[in-house]
Amino acid sequence: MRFRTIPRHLLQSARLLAPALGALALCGLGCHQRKPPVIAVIPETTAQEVWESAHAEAARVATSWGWDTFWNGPSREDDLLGQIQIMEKEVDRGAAGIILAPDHAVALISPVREAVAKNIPVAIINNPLAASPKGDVVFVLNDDVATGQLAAQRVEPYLRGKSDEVAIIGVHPSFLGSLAIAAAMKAALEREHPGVHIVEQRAIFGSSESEDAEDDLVQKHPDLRAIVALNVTQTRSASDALSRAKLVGKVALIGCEQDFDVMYRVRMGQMDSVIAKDTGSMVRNAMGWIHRRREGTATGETIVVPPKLVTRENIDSPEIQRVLAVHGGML
Amino acid sequence: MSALSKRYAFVAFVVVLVLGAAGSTAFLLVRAHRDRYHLRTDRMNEWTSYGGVWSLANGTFHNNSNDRGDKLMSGSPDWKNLSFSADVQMDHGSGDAGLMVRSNDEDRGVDAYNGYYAGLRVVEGTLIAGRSNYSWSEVRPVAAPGGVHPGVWYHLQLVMVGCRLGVSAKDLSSGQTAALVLHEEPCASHGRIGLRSVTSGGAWRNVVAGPGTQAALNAIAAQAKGEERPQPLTTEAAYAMHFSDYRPMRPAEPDQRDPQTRASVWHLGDLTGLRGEVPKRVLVRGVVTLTEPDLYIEDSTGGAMVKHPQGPPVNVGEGVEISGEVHPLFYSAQLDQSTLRVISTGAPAPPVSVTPWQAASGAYDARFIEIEGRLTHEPYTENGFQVLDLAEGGETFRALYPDRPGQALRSLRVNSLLRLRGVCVLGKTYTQELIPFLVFLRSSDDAQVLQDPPWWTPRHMLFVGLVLIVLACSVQLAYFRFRQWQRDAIQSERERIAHDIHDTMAQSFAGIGYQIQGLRTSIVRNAAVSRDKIAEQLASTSELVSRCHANASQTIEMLGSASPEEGDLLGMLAERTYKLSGGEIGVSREEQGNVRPLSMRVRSVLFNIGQEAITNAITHGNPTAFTFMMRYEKRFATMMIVDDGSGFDAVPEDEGFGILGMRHRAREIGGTVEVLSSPGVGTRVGVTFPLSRLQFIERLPLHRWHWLRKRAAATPVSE
Repeated sequence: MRFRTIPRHLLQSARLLAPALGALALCGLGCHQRKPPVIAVIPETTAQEVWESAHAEAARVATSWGWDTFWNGPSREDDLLGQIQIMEKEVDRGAAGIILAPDHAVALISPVREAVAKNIPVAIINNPLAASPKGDVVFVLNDDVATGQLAAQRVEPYLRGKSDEVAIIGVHPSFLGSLAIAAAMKAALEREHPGVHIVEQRAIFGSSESEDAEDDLVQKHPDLRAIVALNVTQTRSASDALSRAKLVGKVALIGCEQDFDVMYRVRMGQMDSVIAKDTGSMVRNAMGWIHRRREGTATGETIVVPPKLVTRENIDSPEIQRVLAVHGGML
Repeated sequence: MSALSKRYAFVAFVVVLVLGAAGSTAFLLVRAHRDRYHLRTDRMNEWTSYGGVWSLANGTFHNNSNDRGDKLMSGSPDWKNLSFSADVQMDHGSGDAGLMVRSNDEDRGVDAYNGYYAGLRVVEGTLIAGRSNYSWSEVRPVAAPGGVHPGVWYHLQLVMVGCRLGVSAKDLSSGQTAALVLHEEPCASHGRIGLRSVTSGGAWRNVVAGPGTQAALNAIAAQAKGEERPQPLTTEAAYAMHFSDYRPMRPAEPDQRDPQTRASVWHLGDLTGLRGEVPKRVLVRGVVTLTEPDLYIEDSTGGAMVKHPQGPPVNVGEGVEISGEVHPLFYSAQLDQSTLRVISTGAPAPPVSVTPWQAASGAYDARFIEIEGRLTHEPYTENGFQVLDLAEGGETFRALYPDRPGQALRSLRVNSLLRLRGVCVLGKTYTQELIPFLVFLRSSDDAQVLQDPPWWTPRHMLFVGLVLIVLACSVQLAYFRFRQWQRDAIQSERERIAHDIHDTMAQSFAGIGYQIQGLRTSIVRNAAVSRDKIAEQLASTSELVSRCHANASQTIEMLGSASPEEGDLLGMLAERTYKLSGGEIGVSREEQGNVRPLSMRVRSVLFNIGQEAITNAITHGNPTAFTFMMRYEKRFATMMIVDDGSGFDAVPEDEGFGILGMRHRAREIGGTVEVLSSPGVGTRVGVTFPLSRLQFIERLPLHRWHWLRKRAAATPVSE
């Protein structure tokens, strides 16, 4: 008597299939583990070199850790929707961390919350959001008070003590840092020179309108002693407007964001100075915080990075060139 | 059709199928090889844009945008060594324009791609080349003899072989050339091709891709001064040195404008306030938001349409100063008899996102907006425009896009939710007072699908309904066919039984009748019939009656047995033997080969043949043992019934109805019957029949598994 052992070939197939499936699963797991974490760096815009320093520093730090970086941003600082879309794409892609230079203090809060909800640590750099940092969010900000005070110091030599007007252009409520700089500069000037009249102009990111606005500014304010420009576009426009009005050297132009083009104007004496943002250091701090946060040893906080005053005299110094470099600070 | 001819037909079908598949594959391979570097330059459908306002006319691509890093991509991501060339023309005195090779991971953004780019830079008058991996590195630019000028065509050729990229540029008006070679190890190994411009609109014509050869690369290298690896501009100082003759994009020229004129610059939003006054000449400034069908500009206060301005062609994003005669409209203004000059370049401002209700209010007339709507009809062409009819929030509106060859909007389906970017227009010239407003799209990419239509569209429902109807008809047809087959089988079995009864009992009854009739005749005629003769005839009649009785019993037994369409076939034959012999005949059974399930019809035929063989053997051979065997080959199977009875002299010419009946049944399933017997050595009846062509379906693991489980649980087999 015997029973037929029918499923023998199935068992043989299973014996062959099981190790293959196991190997495949292990390979898949292994491949997944081998993929390095990706830090997404989203600047205010990719059009200005001020953010290339941040890009280079992020790449340098990530490489030293064996991580990867993703870099992209809108082509204008006011392309809020573009920045939100990039942010959402990176959240969906499951970035290991996001470094964001927000183009709006309020509108970016929801995308950041969405990232935090997916346990993605977010470092806000340069300008703060209109919400306090906590948990998975850190603020690594430019020292806007120091920037405002430095600007006031640079303006002082140009004041004549009577009917002095100083313009601060590029103030925008979406960029809280610009409000802080303006407030600090006003406070410093009012403290030392109470008679100075401050002219405030909102931020303009289109070059055409900016050109018009700065021409108007120069023409309508004959007692203008200095212009403090908070973004690159308006710095260029103000420089051109002063040049057209033959006021270069008579009206001080102080920029608060660097760009190779703007720095070249400092070299050529067309501008007084630039109070450069150390975006490389901001990103380095942000990367370190994200790394610690992923290890569970960091919480939400605010880190302030001091700016650097760049003049025609110190522009070639190693310290300044390090801040302006776009290669990760390795001179 | 016989089983053999069916088999040949099947084989022929498979051969034709295989040959067809092989031919198609060969054709596709040949075509793929031939079209390996084929580029469509007659339609935009196979090109993907990332930023910019791209259009195609008469084989020439245009980008009417001064945005930074606009890209138009095509080709295969697998392209490796290739030559890519085009005539390139820039239409602005700044920025650069050129070609891309081996590009991957493209996105909107200045350097948002991973690949190589080479182009012509206007400000420096140089040929440039470099690599971007979301960060730009470039080799030292090479001065183009005679400089680089807007409005001039340059033939640009990129040849990439291995990790070397040769780039040459030729001024088509002067014939002067420049060349450089980029060499990078490791390099981007493959990718698509593309057109790209940075802060400049441009045109590309004669766009051609082909295989890259070492000879072509060497020819370019012979004109170049060495090879360079692309380097990022790492420091501000290096940048300053790099552009030693750098001039700012907008030179600080003295303002030539009349201060009085400057003071009279109007904001666009204020022009509507001139309604009721005689046409007045005004000076306005704004950024170009649309170039066709009409020129639209806007500033922070509003927008305006400019009719037929005199001046250079402009691109979206350029800042312009316009002097013209203002004609106020309800919500915006129109400028006629105007002159235009470009005063700046740059990226266009992002659109204002509005609802259809807000757009219909007029507050955004002539403004660049972003709006969402659901497509209510299939796109159609009307008056030279491709038209999208949309609705959202109770408002209906249209989106218009110039209808030109090769410039179709991508396929859009009714009820899709779209996000549109374009200039909002309320003028009745276009709305014809049928709709509150419309949106002029700048490029086909301005219509973005946010959500596809729900699947339960009327067309889908109709399709699903048709499928269900076809399915129901198929099931019904199969059911009818099954019932027909069932009726045919029953009819066939009735005929067989009738035939058996006719051959056995009917014949016996006829014999009995003849014998009784003979006796009666003898008695009636008072013939001298001996008592012994009568007794002999009665004995013969009695024997016939007994045989009839036996035949009737067998028939009743056969009809009362279990259905051969279910259960174990050999087991049923063994059981049948047991019943017929009263358990006095030994039975063994055996299966050889890869056991496979048999169809009901085959099992029925085999059971009837086996039953006939058993009956014949018991009736005539007096066997003591039966062996039932089933052997499975790859395409055939054989059932054998072997007995150790007295046997007979098997001569084909003398075959009786029983054997003929078996052959007849075997033919029904495409099989044959072989009877081997000799006196004293028993009989072996073998039935060979083809296995079903659909066996492979039955061999599917799931089916097999159920069948095997059934087999495993079957009655143990006695050896």
